[in-house]
Amino acid sequence: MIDQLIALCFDESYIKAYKKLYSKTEPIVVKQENQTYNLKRNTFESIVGSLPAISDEPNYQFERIVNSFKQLKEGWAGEGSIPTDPSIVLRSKEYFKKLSDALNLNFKIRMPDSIVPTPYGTIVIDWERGVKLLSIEIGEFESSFFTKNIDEFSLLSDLPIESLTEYSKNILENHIFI
Amino acid sequence: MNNLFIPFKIDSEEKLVRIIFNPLHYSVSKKRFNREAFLPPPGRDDVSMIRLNYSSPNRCKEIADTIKLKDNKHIGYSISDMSKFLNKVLSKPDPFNKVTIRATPLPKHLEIDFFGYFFTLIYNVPEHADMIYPYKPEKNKSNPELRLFVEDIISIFTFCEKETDLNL
Repeated sequence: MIDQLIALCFDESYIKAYKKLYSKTEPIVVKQENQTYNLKRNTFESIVGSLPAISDEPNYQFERIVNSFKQLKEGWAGEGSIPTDPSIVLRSKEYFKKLSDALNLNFKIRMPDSIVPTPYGTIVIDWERGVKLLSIEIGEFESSFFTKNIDEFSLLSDLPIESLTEYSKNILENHIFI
Repeated sequence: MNNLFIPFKIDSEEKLVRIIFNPLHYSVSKKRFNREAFLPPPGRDDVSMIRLNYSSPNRCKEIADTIKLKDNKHIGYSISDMSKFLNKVLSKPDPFNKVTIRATPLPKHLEIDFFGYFFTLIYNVPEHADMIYPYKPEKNKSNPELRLFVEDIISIFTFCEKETDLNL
């Protein structure tokens, strides 16, 4: 059972259980699909003690958020809305990783101000600074963005991830992260 | 609802309300609407509204109570008026200058036009209207034009937490 739990603990349930542990809430519950495990505190501590600590690193946080979109069901945002396709979750992670690697050392990646799924299945990632906004949208086969600066808008669509990374890197470095 | 007949044409003075859920439609921490409040699902071009002049604040609450969105809670309403909407839309480039709000009493299949008016008693929600976009978003395809339009149209709406704040 311990091996099984160690495997479980590497996913979302690990994080939920870990948070509960440190919020001193009893009992520690690890949920996986239809199974629920109620663990004694010392058992859980012995498992998580061998696991890496939860990271505040943006890539890790980003992945955690977009992974949660895989849980969405049909109709989650009203009639006709669709869940996020796992391939779009994957593309958004690829984009964030590439962006993080591409940014100049002076502009370390910062968590977006919002990361949300749309009712039609894409993922939207926004960074803001005052009246300036960069809004990225990741689709299944292409991506796009628009920028807003007070009442001025511009947009580009049908971009591959590489071009999106390059455009957003420049916008973030020159307008948002400064 | 006291009117037996309602005009299909929405007057420029009419108030329009959309029911708002949290966290999907509204960010409490940022105190503003999310674009998702006005984005349709794939294959649809309509977003529901209520014509407040032919409804009432209590009726808005009743309608809100019939809507269930998983993991979301009804937290208020967005309100604007038709003249603000028209001013905003008319300044937009094609095709977004064609965005309209039109009366769509529910259920829609009963829609019968009596010289520009409809008989309210045959409808469950006669005060229903739709904001209609010029096209339907495709499944899993990014749509910056539509999102950009919504980003701007949000500015004409005001948040009301309670139905008693919905004033004509």
